[in-house]
Amino acid sequence: MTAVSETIAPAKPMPQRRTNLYFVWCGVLGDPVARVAAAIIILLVLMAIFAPWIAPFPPNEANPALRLMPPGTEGHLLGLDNQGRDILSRIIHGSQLTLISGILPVILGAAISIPLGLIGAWYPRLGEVIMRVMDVLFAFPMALLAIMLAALMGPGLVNMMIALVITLVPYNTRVVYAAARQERELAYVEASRAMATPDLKILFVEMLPNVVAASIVYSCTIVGAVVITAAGLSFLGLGVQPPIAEWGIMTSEGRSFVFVAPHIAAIPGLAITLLVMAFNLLGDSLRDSLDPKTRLTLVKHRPGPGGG
Amino acid sequence: MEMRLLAYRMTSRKRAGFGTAAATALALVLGGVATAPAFAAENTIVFAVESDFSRLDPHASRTWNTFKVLRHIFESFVEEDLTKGPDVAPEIVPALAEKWDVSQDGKSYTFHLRKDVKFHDGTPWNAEAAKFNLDRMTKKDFEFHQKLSPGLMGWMWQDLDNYEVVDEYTFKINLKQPNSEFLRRLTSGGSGAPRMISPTAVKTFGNDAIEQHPVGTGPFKFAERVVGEKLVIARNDDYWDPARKPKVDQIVLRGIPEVATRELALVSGEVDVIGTPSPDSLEFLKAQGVEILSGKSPMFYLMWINMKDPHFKDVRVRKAMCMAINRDDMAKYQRKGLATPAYGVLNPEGPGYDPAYKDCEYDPEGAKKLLAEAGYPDGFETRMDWTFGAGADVNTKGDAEWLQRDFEKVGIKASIEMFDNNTFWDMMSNGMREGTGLTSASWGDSTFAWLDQVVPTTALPPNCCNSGYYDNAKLDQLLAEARGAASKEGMDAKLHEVRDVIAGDMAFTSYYTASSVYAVRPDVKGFVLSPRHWFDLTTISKQ
Amino acid sequence: MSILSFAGTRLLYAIPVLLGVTVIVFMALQLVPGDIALTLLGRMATQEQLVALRQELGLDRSLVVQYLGWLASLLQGDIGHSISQQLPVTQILMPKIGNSLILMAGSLFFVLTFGFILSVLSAPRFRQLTDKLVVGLTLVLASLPVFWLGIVLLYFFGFKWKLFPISGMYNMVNPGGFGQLLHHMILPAIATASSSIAVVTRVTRSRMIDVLGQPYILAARARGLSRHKIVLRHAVRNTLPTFANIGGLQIGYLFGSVIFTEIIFNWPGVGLLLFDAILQRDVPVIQGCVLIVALVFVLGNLMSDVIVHALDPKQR
Repeated sequence: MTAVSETIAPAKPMPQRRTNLYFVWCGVLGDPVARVAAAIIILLVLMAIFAPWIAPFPPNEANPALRLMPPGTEGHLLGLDNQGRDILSRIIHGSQLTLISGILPVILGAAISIPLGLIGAWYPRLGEVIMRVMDVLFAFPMALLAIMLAALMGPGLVNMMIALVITLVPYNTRVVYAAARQERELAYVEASRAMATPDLKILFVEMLPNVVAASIVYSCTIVGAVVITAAGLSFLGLGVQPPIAEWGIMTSEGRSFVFVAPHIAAIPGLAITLLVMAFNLLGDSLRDSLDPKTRLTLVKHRPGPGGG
Repeated sequence: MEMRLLAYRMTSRKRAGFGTAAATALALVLGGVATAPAFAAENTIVFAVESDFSRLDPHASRTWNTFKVLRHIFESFVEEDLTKGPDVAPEIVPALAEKWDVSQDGKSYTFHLRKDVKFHDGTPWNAEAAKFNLDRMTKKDFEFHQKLSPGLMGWMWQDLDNYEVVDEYTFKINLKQPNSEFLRRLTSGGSGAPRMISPTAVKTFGNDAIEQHPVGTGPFKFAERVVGEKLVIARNDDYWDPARKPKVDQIVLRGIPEVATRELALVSGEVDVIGTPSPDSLEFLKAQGVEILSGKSPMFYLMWINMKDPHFKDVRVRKAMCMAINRDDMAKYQRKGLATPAYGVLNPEGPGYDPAYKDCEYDPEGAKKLLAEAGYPDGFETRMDWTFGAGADVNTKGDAEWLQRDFEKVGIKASIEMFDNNTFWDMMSNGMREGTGLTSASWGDSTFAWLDQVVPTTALPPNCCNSGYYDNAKLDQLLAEARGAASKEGMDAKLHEVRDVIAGDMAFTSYYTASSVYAVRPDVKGFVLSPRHWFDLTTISKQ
Repeated sequence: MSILSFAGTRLLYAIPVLLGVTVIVFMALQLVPGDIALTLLGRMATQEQLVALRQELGLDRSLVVQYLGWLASLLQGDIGHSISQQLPVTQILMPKIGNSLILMAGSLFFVLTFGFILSVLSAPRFRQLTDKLVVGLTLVLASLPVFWLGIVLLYFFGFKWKLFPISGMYNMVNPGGFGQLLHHMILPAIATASSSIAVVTRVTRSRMIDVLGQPYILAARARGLSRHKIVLRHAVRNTLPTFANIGGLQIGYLFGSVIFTEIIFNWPGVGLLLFDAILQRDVPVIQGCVLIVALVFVLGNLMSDVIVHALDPKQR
């Protein structure tokens, strides 16, 4: 929820066509920090996929005799929680839902925002209406809107995701709308119109790829914020339900034992921080690579097809 | 020890001083608003309990934590003497009635009322006031009838026939059948409380707003309440019993549901007493110089089973559920030994309790077999509605997850939904939700009044709290006979029948019983536990 | 355009947004599974009460009519009745808003102070060690989940080192006093402020870097003005509108964070109320909290717009 404000500003008009994704690609690969961030994320994704094989214990297996034991307890690298469950195993298994609840709403939000923004940019009257509705949604602080929706629909993973998607739509729509408005003024669109290409074809075949880049980059910059919000909803008891492992709910459960066993809350919180930091770094790098002011310096150092 | 404690306090004060200095610096930066002189309330006890309080109208209130306060604002005809500690069975002593007569057949109670008593608002206490209160609790067409009362207080007035004002200071209650627990129940509370509220206050503030202006006769007066923050009661200087005049000026009660926050508030000196610290924190608290008090309690965890649920309709499924619970380990690990396994519906410290009794044995393999017989060889899915709890509860979510794991071992996959305590009981009054198979809360008492609230058909929804729709009229009869039994042995025998019928149907079970535990700062004196869910706060003081 | 007419225009623009907010909060009620009257009255409601409320809400009529009725009572200050406390929601909400605003003000103070200091420290030293440290710090701050940071602060500053109290706004025994309030406020305010500090610093820093690259700065340098003077005289002044703008935008995010810090530090504000209301399934209170926060948010943004307008000579 923090990276949002600075990225609302649309990408500037592009000097070169069809190279947005190229710049993105070069920008990320050319930036060592972004490479590290990408590596962390890939590692975490792999960890989530192979969780059942790499976790030393099933996530809900409890050994009550070892409740609250600190990190370093034999056989339990990160210690045990208040139920006597292995924290390392729960972190590994918990990465699945933590990642899903951070990424899936962003993807779904983008899927809704892109057509909304495109159509809005194409039909100015309709666009005006859509953007005014978005303005209203902007009147709610992001976390608050998600909390209200999730609270009213009732706790649960699916409801939490729906709430997050609704919350994200206005932000992404604004980005797509701004990008599409600029795109619309460009020569190739004029040309297509002159050739009487159907509106929908211009929108979803010709303009879409160029607008999608802006949306993707924006989405990447907010994944970190969404991970935090999703974990926050679970922290409030609105998201993932016990005993399912997820980092937000694990932090929340550790809160009751923070004086006798601080590691229970500390470890999942650290994990969230690391994940969010990786997403934020990657998002920043992606954004820089799309920003005409900085993109050239990023690409300059790397020879590549069409680059220079 | 004393020295170390002193050293610890000094360093902590010095450090706090640094923090204050930083804060003051910030104040200057912010523009320096003049610091208002803090009002110093000497001789105040801050008491943190496990949940915020329910309504302060005794006839509509709920939860033991609320009753812990209400029993000091409002009084009944008689009281229990709770000043003798947790190991002494409390005696019934005169309160608003100086003395009483019981008729030969055990059906009529004549109370000779105390003459020099006034409510906190000056209204005199007399038989008319008593009648007003009974009307309010029981008479449906009375102008000031509290509508929630009949649903909450069946346990008290189910045998009531009528009552009459004999003269200004004599009040007579006639029962339809004898009830050997009648006086004991008059002292109880938690689900409504048969206590006396000022008729003038009810008439002035109205039936709903009265709960914001509770006026009784007790040793403490209501001073202030900020919902969700604090409830303040102050000493009643005109209290009729000089021996029970409170030692402190006021008591500030706070509901702090999060146990770690409660503990830290105690350690940092922001509160003086806390209820139910986490069993895992006791060593840590002792090391911080805090005193741990614990004692016997009638509390145990009762489990309701939804008899309307398609899975739990089958008695074999209910029995399998009972057999799946590893009660021994649960008591050992969830409460670190401050608990014992519980079976069946009779609680320790209550009538008829038999420590050797078991309604089922822990046997996960047998449970699986029973489930297979019932047509669920692969188990089934259900839901547990659970409460964060109130008085004496700690980490109930952990208990729920423990049970969830035990059930999963036999194939019952249960999801958990947690509720705030008041919401939970609102829900329970309406019966368990569709799709919810199991639910649980702490209950049990020194009388079996609570069984009268949980088991009989009169407690079926929309009354509280036969929430699992256990419809067995035979138990109404058995419970009435138990109340009417002339001897303790007779009552115990009847209660054993009740217990065995319920175990046969497996309509309820229980899993563990926990001691009551309080943590107290060393400068607090005179805090005495009792073998009840509540205590007497008139003796507490601070050095 | 004068400040007043600017403010007036903005206020006019805000009205449709505020109306939209009420529509959303009203429509959100349709998300609640089950009977709306039962949801609003709670499970202890009697049959008569339910019938009366259904009548009042006009549940059989169209949503538009229902909304207009709801809006009419809203405009009279009636947001509904709390289920758990049996009180009008406004009565419960009002003192809590004040408490939250106090905490917000404290957080905003930290956001602006640290945001400003960190920007002034880093921007003139672009790509030097100080700058890199500041950028690294903002990255960490922006990635910390506020609920976790709150617990960490509470653990170290409240419990280990005992520097600050950890619960509530005032001492329970001797409540009162501004100093006491500040003492209680510091930890939750810092936790609330952390991620916003990062955002404000980043935006202000990059704006200041832009400003420092402008020709007139180079000219000033050529005239021999010291770096100190350039930064303070020119760079800060020209960065101020951006700073005020981004600072104002933080109000919303602070509200999002305040919910969590209030829970962790037992601060009796809207966040704690909202949390309790969620646990209690107290829908009228949830609605009221969200409505009020959105209202404050819109008005806060409006105010910050006006301030930015006043600060920025170009916009005038």
